[in-house]
Amino acid sequence: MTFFTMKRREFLRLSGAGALALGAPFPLRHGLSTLSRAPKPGPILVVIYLRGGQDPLNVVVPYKDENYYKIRPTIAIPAGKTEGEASVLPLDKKFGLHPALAPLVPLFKSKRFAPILAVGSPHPTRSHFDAQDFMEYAAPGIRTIRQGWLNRYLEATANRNGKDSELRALAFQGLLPRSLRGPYPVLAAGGRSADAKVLDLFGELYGEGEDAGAMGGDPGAGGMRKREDETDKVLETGRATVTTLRRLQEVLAKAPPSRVRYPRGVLGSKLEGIARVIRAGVPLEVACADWNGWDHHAREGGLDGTMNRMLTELGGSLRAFLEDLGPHADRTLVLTMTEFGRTARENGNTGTDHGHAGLMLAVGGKIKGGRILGKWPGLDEKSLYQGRDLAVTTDFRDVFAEVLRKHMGWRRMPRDFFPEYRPGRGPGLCS
Amino acid sequence: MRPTTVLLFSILIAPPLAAQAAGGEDPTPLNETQRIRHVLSRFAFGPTPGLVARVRRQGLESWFEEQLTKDLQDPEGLRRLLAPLDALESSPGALLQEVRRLSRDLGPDRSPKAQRRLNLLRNKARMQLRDAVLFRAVYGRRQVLETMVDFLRNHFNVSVNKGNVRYYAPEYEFGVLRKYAFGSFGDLLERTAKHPAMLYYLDNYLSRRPPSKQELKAIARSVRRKTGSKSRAEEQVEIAKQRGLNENYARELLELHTLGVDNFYTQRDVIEVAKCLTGWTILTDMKKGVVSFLFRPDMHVKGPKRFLGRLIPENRKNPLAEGETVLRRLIAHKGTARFLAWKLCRYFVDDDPPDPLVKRVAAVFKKTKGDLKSVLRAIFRDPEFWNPRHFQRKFKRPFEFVVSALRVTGAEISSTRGLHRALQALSEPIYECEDPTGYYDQAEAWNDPGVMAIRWDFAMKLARNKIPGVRVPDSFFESLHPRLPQVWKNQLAVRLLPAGMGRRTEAVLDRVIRAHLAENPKAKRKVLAPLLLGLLLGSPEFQRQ
Repeated sequence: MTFFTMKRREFLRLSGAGALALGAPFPLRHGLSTLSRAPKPGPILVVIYLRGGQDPLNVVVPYKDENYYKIRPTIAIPAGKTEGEASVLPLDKKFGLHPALAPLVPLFKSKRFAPILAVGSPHPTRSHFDAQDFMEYAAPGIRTIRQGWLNRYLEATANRNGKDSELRALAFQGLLPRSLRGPYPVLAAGGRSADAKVLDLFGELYGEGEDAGAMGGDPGAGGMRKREDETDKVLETGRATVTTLRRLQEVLAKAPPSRVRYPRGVLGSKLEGIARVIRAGVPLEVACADWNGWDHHAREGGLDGTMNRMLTELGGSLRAFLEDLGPHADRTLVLTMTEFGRTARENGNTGTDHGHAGLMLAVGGKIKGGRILGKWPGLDEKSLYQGRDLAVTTDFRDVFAEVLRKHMGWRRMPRDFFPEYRPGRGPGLCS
Repeated sequence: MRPTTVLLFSILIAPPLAAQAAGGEDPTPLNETQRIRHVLSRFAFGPTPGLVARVRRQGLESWFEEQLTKDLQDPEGLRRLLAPLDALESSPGALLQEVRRLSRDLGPDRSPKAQRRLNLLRNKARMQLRDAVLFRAVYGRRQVLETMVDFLRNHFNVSVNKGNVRYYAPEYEFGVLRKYAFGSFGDLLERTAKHPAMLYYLDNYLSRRPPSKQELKAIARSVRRKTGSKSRAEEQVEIAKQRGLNENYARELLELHTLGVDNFYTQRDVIEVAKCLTGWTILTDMKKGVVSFLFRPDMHVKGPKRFLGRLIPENRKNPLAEGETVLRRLIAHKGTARFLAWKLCRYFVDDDPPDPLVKRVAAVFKKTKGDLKSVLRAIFRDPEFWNPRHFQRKFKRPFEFVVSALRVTGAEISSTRGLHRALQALSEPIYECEDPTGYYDQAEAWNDPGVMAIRWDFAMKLARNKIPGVRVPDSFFESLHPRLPQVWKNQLAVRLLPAGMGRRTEAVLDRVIRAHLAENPKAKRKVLAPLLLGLLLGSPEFQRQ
């Protein structure tokens, strides 16, 4: 059973009657009473991470730039000279969208969508794993920082508006993205999970509601010391699992399933889950969704090929999500990002190799959309980074900082929140 | 007292291990049983019923040496499970040929039924491969080999989800990783580099020099002759001009397989290595049913190359040798010894292995030119491996959790579907790691809040025989005391938890037993024992090894 298919009736059976059945001799700790708490509508940030290095030039196409067509003879998106053939969907006089992203055009017109061009890291790495780490910890080149930037935000703003909800942040996937990893408990809700009975039992086993270490802990060889037990990650994870999943089950039992149709695929079902939590009135602040598979060394293609298929899903899912949110769209900002862009030239396998500057797409009800954001560095030989890649003109931390300060309303963000960072101009996404 | 009574007595009164040893500044060294359990936790996927006793009889040193040197026969049950996996005997060429043939025979306008038949065939090898990996990990007697292959599978990761890798991966597993797991690292590196699975997965088969002017002219001529169109010919020339270097494999070769990220090399080296490896591609001959490594001199980038500050002169007679020189230099490089030693220690000893240990193991790696048996012995014999602070401290990856649970319960598998589904839910399906990093083996990557619930669900279902196709045999429960549930708790804990039950776990189990007895004074082994087993499999203690 997935969270999304669990009906209210089933939930009540599992949580209420189930507790009396054999195997669950302990009363439920958290009743349904918590549901009556009035939701506090605050800002929401949804981060979609496109892993592998999305090719920015074939998403937002510089369709007036001759260089673009010269260096991409087989995978360029045509500028629409031939009648009846799919071509770039112009956003302004210089840039247009890949036709697979057609669902985003109306959002651009209603100012609820804006691309941010040439975003990236000041660090030159072309390793996926380093680039992702550096970006998700928002600490380029600093390997000692192992707490995600969103987790740092959650921790730094804990209990800002009274006691935190158990569901301030989540991801509907088996494992958290690194940006959400860290001491602040965030829920990773994979598709299938234990029922309420099982949660009760294991809540006891992992010392839910106990003072950490009060039981003297579980042993390692030679005995675990008490203070080790207090920081025991396994126990901590178990406890966090129980409280957050319990809360999520309560919430989802209450929210009606979506009426909006999402494209089938990895992203759609995750966004659908996030929308459902938001519509249930949970004070959710941050949600993340990972999408692996943007590393198009071969068969990226132009109008056809792998990326065409993936962009179709991306555009459709973003549009469906915004629609599904209804009035909540106004307090939501969706941001797609990737670890780096790709070589400006195609590589001869109708693909591209690891490059430098990438691209972000921002969608939301109240953003300053309908504009192309970020400075365009150009594609001529001189402007390319190391003669091969799109150059970075916006540090990704400039975007993160603006989003936290303005969209999330964290006016008191400390100067050193991003280590070794010299604040630059934000992209002007949020008012 | 009869022996069984002694055992029972000791289980009933033995205080938890924690209580015995808690509070001491210098942890006591591991005793004999703990040493055996430690080795079975790290160099094996945990004990099976009776294994601890067998290893004790044989002697731990002798057991380990036998594991490294003897070609132990697969047990009868495992052979029965592996026998039907016929696709794994086929070569990459034969597998691909079979699929291509059926696809051709079915024609382009095929019925849904025919399409299903084709899909079944397309998935056959990958499904059998993941079954074989699982069966061998659970039932294989060569457990040190199984853990080593598990390490290598992630170190030299390929994913069956990318293109034709699904047809090439069985031979990659059995003909490369498993075959050379106890051989030299150099053999592994060269054989992975030249295997179609790796050539395809990291795109090196596509990497080539840009075409020459003559070649472009030849292309133009041939297209014009065929189509009679000048513009078509120009288009094809433009396409051909773009063909060139693909850096994907070269980068991961340095970053993931040998030196470690940004150790000793730069982006320039990545490009130079990629140049040396141009022409390392795949031969696909469907007439003969052959898919294999092929060196194509016409794809190779000419001229001298520089790698790590040293010249690789152009080898006109045998340009293939340039790439082999790169591999040889990497194998002999101190960075490779250091990186592999560190990663192996991380896998077998601790998520954050102490530096002196890594240095000692790296020295053995260097001295023996990457002889993996010697390296494993060095870890096994190192005092740091036996340091009690590592005992039952390493968080199990999902694969290790599932396999160790199946082993410790002596579970019988008649269908693997439910198990693969569980591994999928736990984010570690076999041979499906998309990232070239392979699955991480540190706790940090796996213990997010939420994932524990999926483990608990698995634990309860396994104990209650609710996973389709998987059964904990009756004999597992029959050996429990006929009447006393308090004894079951301890009997189970002894089997499952090498470091014993923590006080909290024991208290919870006590409460469960009391509550159960209050409702059903005649406790049935069939009902209560599986519940206790499920709780222990899901307990914090069982998540560690």
